[in-house]
Amino acid sequence: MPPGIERDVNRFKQIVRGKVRQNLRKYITQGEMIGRKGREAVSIPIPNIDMPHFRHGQKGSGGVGQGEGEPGQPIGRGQDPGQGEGSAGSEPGQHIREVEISLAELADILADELELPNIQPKGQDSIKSVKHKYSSVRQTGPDSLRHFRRTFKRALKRQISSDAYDPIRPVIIPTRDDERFRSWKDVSEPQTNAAVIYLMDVSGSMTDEQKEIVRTESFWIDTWLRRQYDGVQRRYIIHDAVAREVDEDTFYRTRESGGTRISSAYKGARIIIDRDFPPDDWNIYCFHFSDGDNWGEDNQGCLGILTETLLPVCNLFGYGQVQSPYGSGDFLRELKKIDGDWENLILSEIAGRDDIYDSIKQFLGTGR
Amino acid sequence: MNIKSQVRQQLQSLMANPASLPTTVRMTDDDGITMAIDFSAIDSMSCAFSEMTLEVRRLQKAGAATLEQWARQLSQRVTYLLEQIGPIEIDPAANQVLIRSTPPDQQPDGTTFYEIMLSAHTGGTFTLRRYHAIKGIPGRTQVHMQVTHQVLEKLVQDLVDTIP
Repeated sequence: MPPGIERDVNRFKQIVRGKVRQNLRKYITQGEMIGRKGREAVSIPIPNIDMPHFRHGQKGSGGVGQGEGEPGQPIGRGQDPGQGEGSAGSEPGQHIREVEISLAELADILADELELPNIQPKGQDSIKSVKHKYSSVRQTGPDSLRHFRRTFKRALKRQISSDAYDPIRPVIIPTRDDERFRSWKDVSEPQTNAAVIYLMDVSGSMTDEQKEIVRTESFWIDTWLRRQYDGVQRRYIIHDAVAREVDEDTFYRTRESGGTRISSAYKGARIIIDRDFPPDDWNIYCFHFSDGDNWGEDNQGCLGILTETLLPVCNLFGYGQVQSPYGSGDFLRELKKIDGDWENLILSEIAGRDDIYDSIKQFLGTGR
Repeated sequence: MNIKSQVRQQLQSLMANPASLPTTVRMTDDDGITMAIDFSAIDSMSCAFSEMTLEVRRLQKAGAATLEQWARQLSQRVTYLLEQIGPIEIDPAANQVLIRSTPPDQQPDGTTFYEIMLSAHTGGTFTLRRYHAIKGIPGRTQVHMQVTHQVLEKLVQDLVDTIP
């Protein structure tokens, strides 16, 4: 990219970042960007950025540089007023431009705005990830990977050694034997990994609005954790009176009519941890969202599972109590009983969309 | 004597002796159905109570399907309270059905709603309460329900009539 354009692109990115930062609370609370999420980037609607530009008038309508002029004489003739129906509006027009921003950049903006500390991973980089490094050369391969310099050098050597090289007319013609291609080696690299288990109450009292809040909050948590760790694995559990592991899409779209037994979800989380994520190797995060309407006698069971099996192995256990049309249940009160004993237990009340911003800050502001 | 007649008698008795309030009134009919109402206030036209329970022995081993049927019939029949009611959660594992106001009464300061729990767990019980949730404060507080004598008698009759 020519340096001039690169500078302009960087400036444009800075302007976009500024606009995103300025409207971050709106993006978070309205969940505008989630539907536009790609694998590595999101597309964000931002108000149009006004750039100065020339406007051309009609041809032959006069203007600067045509004929003599007097001081105060207007430039150009201007257009005749046209005929049309209705009157002009009094409000300014709304121009929306969609720009792409990488998830990594978005996470950085989030961190700056919420003043999030970087996470201190739990330690052992014992998980090996295999990466391809194009560090070797071989004799066969696709044209797209042809190593031009090596191929050229081999052809030159061959032609010199066989006396076919003419310095007056230096034409080098590589043969098939001269061709060399870039090739990769598999390299194992230690990396810090995180496992995120999302749990959501999908019982009859949780409405679509509550689920949308959960979805928005999970997106931002995900974005931040992906920025902090090399590899992030996600698992999803939904529960009413019974829990089951589901994929991401099902997680946000399911509605059940069953009762609420939160302990079933906690047991499910423990099973996933035992099966897939040995706590010594993984940084484990659990985020549970519910309206707190747990059926009475289940509360004690939940506290037991939490304190005995989940809290000791989790970097962070976040519980977000979303307010339903029936208000907010009692489960949060139960958790507050053990809140003081566990630094990695973070509780958050989410009365509505406006609280998502602060709730994310509560969850991620601990640096765990 | 059926429950409805006993409720009428109890209302008259409480009106004659309002000093006895608050009090819990228990009634049992010939089929062994037991009703308890926690009255807190009464006058010549209406009364206030905090909780109404109904125990139906024959539903002790009822499955979730039976309770669900009861819930649906109740929701169709009881249409004269402050909000419509409907089943929200059905828990087959525990044989319980949760009925609530659908939708609840939402005011700027919070939400008020009826909650009925049908359960086969503790001997086939119906429990009616009313709750108020203040916006932004977790948890709910139980509040009194105020109904006219006529509405109370009709509610009691509908409860008994819809028992599966």
